[in-house]
Amino acid sequence: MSNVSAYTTFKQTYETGKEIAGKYQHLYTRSLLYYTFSFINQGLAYLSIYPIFVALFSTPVETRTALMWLLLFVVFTGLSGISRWFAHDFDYTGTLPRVMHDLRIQLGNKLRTMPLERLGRYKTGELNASLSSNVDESVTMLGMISGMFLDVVITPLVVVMGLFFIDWRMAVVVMVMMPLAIPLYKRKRQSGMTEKTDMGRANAALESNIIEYIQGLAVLRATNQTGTNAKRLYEGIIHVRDLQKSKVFKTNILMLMLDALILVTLIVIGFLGSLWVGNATMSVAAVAAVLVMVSRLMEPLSIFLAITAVMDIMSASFKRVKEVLAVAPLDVDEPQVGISSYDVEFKSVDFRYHGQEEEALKGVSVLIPGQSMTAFVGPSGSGKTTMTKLMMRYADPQKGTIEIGGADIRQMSQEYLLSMFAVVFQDVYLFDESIIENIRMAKPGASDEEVKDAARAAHCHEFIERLPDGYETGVGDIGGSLSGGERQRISIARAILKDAPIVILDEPTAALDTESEVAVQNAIDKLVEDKTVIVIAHRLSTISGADNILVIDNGEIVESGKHDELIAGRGKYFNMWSAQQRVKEWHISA
Amino acid sequence: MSNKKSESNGVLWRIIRPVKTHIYSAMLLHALGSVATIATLLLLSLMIAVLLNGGSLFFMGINWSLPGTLIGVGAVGLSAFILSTLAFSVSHLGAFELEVDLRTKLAEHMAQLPLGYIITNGTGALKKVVLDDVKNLHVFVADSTPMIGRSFTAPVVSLILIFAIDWRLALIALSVLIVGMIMMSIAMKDYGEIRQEYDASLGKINAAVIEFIQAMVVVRTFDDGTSSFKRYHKALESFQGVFIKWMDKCSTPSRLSMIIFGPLPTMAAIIAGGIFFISKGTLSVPTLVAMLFISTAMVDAFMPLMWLNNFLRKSKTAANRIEEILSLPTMSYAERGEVPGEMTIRFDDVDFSYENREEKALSGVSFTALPGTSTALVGPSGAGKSTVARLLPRFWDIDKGAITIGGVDVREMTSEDLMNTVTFVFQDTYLFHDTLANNIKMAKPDATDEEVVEAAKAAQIHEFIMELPEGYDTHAGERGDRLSGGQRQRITIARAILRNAPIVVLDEATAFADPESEEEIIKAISFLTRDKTVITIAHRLSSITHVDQILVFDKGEIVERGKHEELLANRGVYAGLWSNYKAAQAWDLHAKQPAGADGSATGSIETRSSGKNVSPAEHPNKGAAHV
Repeated sequence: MSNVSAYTTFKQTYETGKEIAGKYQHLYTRSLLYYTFSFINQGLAYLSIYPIFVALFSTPVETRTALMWLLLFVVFTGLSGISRWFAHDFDYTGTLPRVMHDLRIQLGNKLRTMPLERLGRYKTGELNASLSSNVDESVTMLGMISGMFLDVVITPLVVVMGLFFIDWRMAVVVMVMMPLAIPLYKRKRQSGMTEKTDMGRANAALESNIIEYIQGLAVLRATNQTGTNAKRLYEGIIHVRDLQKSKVFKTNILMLMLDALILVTLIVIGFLGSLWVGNATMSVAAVAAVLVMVSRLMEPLSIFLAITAVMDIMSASFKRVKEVLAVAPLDVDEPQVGISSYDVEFKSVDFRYHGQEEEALKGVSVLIPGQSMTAFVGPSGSGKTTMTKLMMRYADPQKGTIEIGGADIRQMSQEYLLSMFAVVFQDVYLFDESIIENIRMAKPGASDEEVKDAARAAHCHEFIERLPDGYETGVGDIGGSLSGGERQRISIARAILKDAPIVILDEPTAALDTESEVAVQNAIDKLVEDKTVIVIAHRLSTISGADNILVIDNGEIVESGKHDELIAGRGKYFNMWSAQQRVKEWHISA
Repeated sequence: MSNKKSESNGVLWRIIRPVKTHIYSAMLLHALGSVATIATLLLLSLMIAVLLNGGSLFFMGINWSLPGTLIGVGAVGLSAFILSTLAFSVSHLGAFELEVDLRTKLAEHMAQLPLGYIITNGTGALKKVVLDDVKNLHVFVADSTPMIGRSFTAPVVSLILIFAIDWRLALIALSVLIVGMIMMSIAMKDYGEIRQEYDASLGKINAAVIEFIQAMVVVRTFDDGTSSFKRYHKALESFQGVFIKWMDKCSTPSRLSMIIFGPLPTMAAIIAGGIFFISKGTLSVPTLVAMLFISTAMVDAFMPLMWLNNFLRKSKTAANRIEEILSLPTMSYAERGEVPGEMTIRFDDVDFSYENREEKALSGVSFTALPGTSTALVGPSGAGKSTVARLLPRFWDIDKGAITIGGVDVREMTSEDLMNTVTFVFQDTYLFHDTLANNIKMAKPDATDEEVVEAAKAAQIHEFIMELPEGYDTHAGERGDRLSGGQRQRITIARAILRNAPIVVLDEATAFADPESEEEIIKAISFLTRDKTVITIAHRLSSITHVDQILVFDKGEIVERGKHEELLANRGVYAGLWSNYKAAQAWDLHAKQPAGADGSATGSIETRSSGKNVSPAEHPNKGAAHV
């Protein structure tokens, strides 16, 4: 029973190890075989202590016999050492770094093809951890730990089998004692688990207490509720301590019993050995040899728990890596098709975000004609941005289709689809490299002149020229000294350079101060020339000239038409418009 | 290098000092436990000698009988077990106390740091220190300190013992050990240097990963991640190179030392020596047995040391981060501060610069805001408006000059008084995990329910709250909560209204982050600022045409001041801002349509789709697509 579970533990570990090693798994398996051979020889070396002792314990001492067996001991030692040398090939000949590299490349590629909606579901830091530390944790100790694990399993096995030839009773004693490690180990893991869930809960509570404390500091200070006066935080801290205290004995006792198992075995062997020597059924040499052999099993077993802890971390980390790798990319339906125009059409589209109950879009059907300007207006969370995201296949709708130029966007390759769009967001991401490269990335083959033309059109040529190294200035070097408006204009230069037929503007000036706003507005005017333009803007006066205005509320299009028509309709749009007119009149006063 | 190392060791020990009694006791107990383990092994070899001698032996002045020896073995073995159990219990208890101690200290210290520091560093990073770094030290104290006690005691005790038992065999064992150590030191040669290189390239990977992920959403529409992937790939390659080089360099000595530190070489050497001396008649067989027992214990103790090193490194980084926060200078608050009698705000020749930045954020800023007046701060971003707004509630302390309220320097006021004098609406949209009523009450714990409702009404949020199934008892901050940004904003405004502080500092941009409830927020703010001394960072210039004074900031200085009309008449910076603002307001986005838009549009597209299917290759931007 217990042997079976030891075997399954081992098998699982081996399977995980092979999976981690990926295409290098034959090297991993080879390394394990070398380890196995090494530890078999180690066990055999231990066993050959018995004949050496027999020779030395006999009177007179049989030196020649002892030396012969010593020679055998040395041979086993040599074989064990040599195979161990080769077992370490996995660590020292570059396989380990290659396995890591491979995993990270796979993860990177996955990120590039993952639906953006799925990507957005990860918490900040979660993916960073998967790509950096989780890969590290899965791989670094793989070879070494597997070797140590084998040491704990194989050496005792060989010793026990050999013991049958020396004294079967002793073999039975050791066979009974050693597997005790397994239930003990299981209990320890189990109590570790329940402890982890209790503790996990307590720690999660503490975590939110800490966050609340830090974020609320300004308010807490005003009411003198900081430090030990912060009751909730302090209670959380104390609760964690008390919970741990209540478990300390239970956690430690099992570990220490496991630790002490070999010592206990030795003592039992000593007692029984004396007994059997007394009734002349066993030789002193045999007792001494068994004691020495078994004492050698003490150290590997005492670090066994540490090994399994590392293995747990390894497989937990790898699980996270695997989860990322398992995310399905957006599939492109065959046959891939081309398009006949840049009309964008939603056909009864229903969309619900993952984990949300309510639908973000409900039965949206609309035709956005090419080369015209369409504005999306409505309260935040009404579905404006969702619609623009779905056009670019941020995620697929649960129901309905989205077509561009009469073709389902699910039948277009991602590259092709995205090449049709230029997007200007509220946030701008600039890479840590030169400004010229930051613009050029929109069209990798563009000449410097093309880039500069785009920059001129986006009204950023002038300020770029004024930077210390002009276009070659690294974004990282000047970092914060670019204003929001300047960054936004660089992103518009990108969009102009890309020259995509469909332009999406998502509140591009919302985060800017007045001064930059005018410059950015000028840049946008340049960008939208002759394009299919979809704009989301809060300030309604901005979009009053649009060819079509879609008023979106609660995931539905509730009104549509030109500004004058909507005003005349006295509906939702009219209300929004009047509220904004009133707000304009507002003055701050004491 | 070595200096730095001992320095960070010092930090670690300083941080865990509060529980040093626990730590030393645990080390001592576990050291004694390991001595008891060794003693058990010795007694077992004595037992062999007794057995050989026919049941009893006179040794070290004692007559050892077989039962006596066996009882000794059992007793010492049991005490070894008890000692280690005690050691670990003590170290764990110490670790728990340490957590409480450090977390409380950190919480108290953070409360006295400039609020600006908290905001700049972000909740996430600070939380990580209080939660995870403290937990790391817990692991270190609980599990590692007893091991340290053992790892240093076991080799020393066994070394002394083997020399006491037989110095010749001891020398043999020691020389194997020394060969192993030499190998190890060769393997570790240049460790520091290579490690640095390794860490540096690992750091580059991290930076590339962060960029790669952060940019993914924005950049997909531009280059399908190709260009960011290139950089990621490059970082990976260089890391792989460094790693392989490292492994290659230490390959041979590492492998050799691992083989030598295994038990077999030492045993072989001792057995060989043993056979030789026994054949000469200068060594007894039980002595050899004892040597085999103990000599390898010395070598064995090295393995856990390597493990410990790993823990130690992690703990040191954790300790450093904790120390970093604890050693930040706190703001000194007056114990029994002065309370201003009236609310005149004065900035008197104030200089201020942010840490790590050379240029001044403010230089020579002086102005006075009389009680009950409103002052607007305008100017381009980075001009110093926000800095002024945040210096008044003392997010940071100034370098030169003075900020006074009613003649009292803000540094002379208690934190509590200052916060009750100045209320601000900017980053403060935080809601506690508590009921809405309690969230509003936060500002004034002894407020009655009526007062809370009044404040909520004034903040235009009462009606919304009443519509909720649980009304004021609705829990804020729970997952799936339905509060929008504007609603949360209004609850914090209700909080500010209830606090009723005489001075209100306002950042318009943050206040209107949620355009939907703009009108309600305006009403709420109008109530909040009624009869107060108001300082506002204004973005919509139309809202400040009536304020008592406008301060125009540029590059950290006040360049103009006065009322709206005066400033317009000046035709200076403000007048420029104003016309700009007017232009921006009037902007009307329209795609210029070529005449006969429909016809020309389809025409141009039809050229592109002349084939049956337009393949991506025909698209003009094919170059951008990654293959």
